[in-house]
Amino acid sequence: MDAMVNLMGGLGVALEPTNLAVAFLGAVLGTAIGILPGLGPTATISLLLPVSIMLEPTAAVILLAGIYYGSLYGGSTASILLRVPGEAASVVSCFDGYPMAQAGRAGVALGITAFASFIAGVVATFVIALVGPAFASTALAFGPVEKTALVVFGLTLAANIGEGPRIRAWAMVALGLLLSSVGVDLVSGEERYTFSIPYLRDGFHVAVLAMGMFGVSEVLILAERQRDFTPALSARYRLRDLLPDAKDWKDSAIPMTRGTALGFFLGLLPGGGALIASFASYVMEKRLSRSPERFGKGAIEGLAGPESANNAAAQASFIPLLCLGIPANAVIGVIMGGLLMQGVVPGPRLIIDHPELFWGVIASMLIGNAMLIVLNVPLIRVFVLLLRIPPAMMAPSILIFCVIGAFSINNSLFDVGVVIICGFLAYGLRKSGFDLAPLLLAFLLGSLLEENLRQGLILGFGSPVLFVTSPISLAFLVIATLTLVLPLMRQLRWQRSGNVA
Amino acid sequence: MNAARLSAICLAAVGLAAAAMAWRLGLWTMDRPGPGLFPFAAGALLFATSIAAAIQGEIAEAEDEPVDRRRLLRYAAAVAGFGLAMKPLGAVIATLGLILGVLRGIENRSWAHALVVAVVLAALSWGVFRYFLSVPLPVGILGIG
Repeated sequence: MDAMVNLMGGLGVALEPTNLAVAFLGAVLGTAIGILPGLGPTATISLLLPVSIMLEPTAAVILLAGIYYGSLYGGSTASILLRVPGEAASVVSCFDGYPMAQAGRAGVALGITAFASFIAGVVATFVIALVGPAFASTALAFGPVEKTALVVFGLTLAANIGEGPRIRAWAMVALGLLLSSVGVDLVSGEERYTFSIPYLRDGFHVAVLAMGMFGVSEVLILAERQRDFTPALSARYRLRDLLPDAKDWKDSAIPMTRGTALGFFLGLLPGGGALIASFASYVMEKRLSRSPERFGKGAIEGLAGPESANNAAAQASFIPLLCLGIPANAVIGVIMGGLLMQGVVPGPRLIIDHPELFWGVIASMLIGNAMLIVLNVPLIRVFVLLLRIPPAMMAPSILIFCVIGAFSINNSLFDVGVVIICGFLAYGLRKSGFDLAPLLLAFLLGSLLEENLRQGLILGFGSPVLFVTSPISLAFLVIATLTLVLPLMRQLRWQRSGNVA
Repeated sequence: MNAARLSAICLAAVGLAAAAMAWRLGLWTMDRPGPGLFPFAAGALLFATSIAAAIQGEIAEAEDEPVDRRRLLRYAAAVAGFGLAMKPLGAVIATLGLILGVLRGIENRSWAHALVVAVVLAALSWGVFRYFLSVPLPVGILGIG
């Protein structure tokens, strides 16, 4: 019951005019950038870090969180109407959403995704309120050894569950860790990889890297070919068309429930988040379905499950951030950057030291989701107009805002160079089959990992034995090894059976 | 050699160089993990995984349409030019130039169209960053901004 009392208290914080206004701004911006292909939540949240510093820490997180889960509402729109995902976590919505739209059921597809996201969002908020404090008190028992193991586990998950070839994901994890070690080593005072450039002494700023990797490189992707979406957008949606009928609800209810539970669980894991949750839910629904052949041809379950999973995951990933101080994915990592810029250190003590922030942010998710369902069902027509913005204008606008945004973090022209070079390199990596999300996550977790690893080694007088004698650490390392080894074994078995057949 | 293999080899070289530099920083100093230990491990991991990725070689391309290379190169030049122009010309002039260049030069829009969009976007970015966020945008040698 404590949780409900605290949540009510949080609601009081979230209903303050400023917080209400930023929640609305987050919902509108999130939906908009979710719909627009090109600008995803990572780049947008990075762009808004300088704005968020002007706000109170609570309002800042409410704004940035709203953009994240709001983008998941909007993201499916372009997937359904154009088969162009507005952002990465909405790729799955193309599979069955687009065939539904082709079959004249675009309205229902848009409607069911919004309702699936809403239901998952509201359920996830209550579950966070219930389990969050328990997580924080457990995490107080975590020392450097346990934290190291947890981060290693998170990186293993990020590399193993993500898109694309696993070995390439591991290379990106390694590159991210390497980039995190650029700058002055805080323990020894030695400069690492600074090449005597004074600007590199403080290392790279996460927002600058994120804007380069997810903003500038996207400009180059948009530049690859001329696109025109207008013909696909001639349809008009009346509110009546958007409401799923009784059969649609019946078909979606169970997938939504499963999706919410799966998404919430995956969101808790470092390395998890909306993207993985939506893929996992799709695979699960297809396996459990009595008629899996309908998937990919407009099965509403293939839309409802993943849409609730990605929203539940996005919200659940605030638990590792706010209760453990560990960012579960790249977007949350940038939000963590925003908190640190405010002087708020996320971790198990946050809920004790800043209860108004913790409960205010959680409660704002209820308000945010309520605003989003209004924006994404009755007002979806207005947002669909955004898809009429010609890509010719989108690309330079993203570039301008990312470059000037990068400048504004430290008022430094050096960062302008970093964001552009980073954009070119990221484009090259993306085109060669490297996924950038593990890179950014590893960059974020790198300094945390190094600090805790070194402390753990010092505690063990130079021996790594503590990492296997602590039961919590051992458990994380064993699961990490299993996630690493099991897919390899399955592949081997598959190859062997393939040879026999 | 395809692009996937080439970039994997470049990454391997970065990993190797990074590991070598980290080695010189010291992996273990005064009975404690030194400043080089962590970057050495990261560099070694990068080297090993990139070599494996290079051996694995080509990845299945999911591209359905071919890339318009000419267009891409022009955009790349615009991106680089925008960054380089920031300091000497200032943010406002660089923004105007970028939009005019992209819309007129690459997208073949009319001068009037390009000019209107350029002025609107330049004013918008100036308003947001200079006025609202009080960011001291680079003014360039002309002192505009």
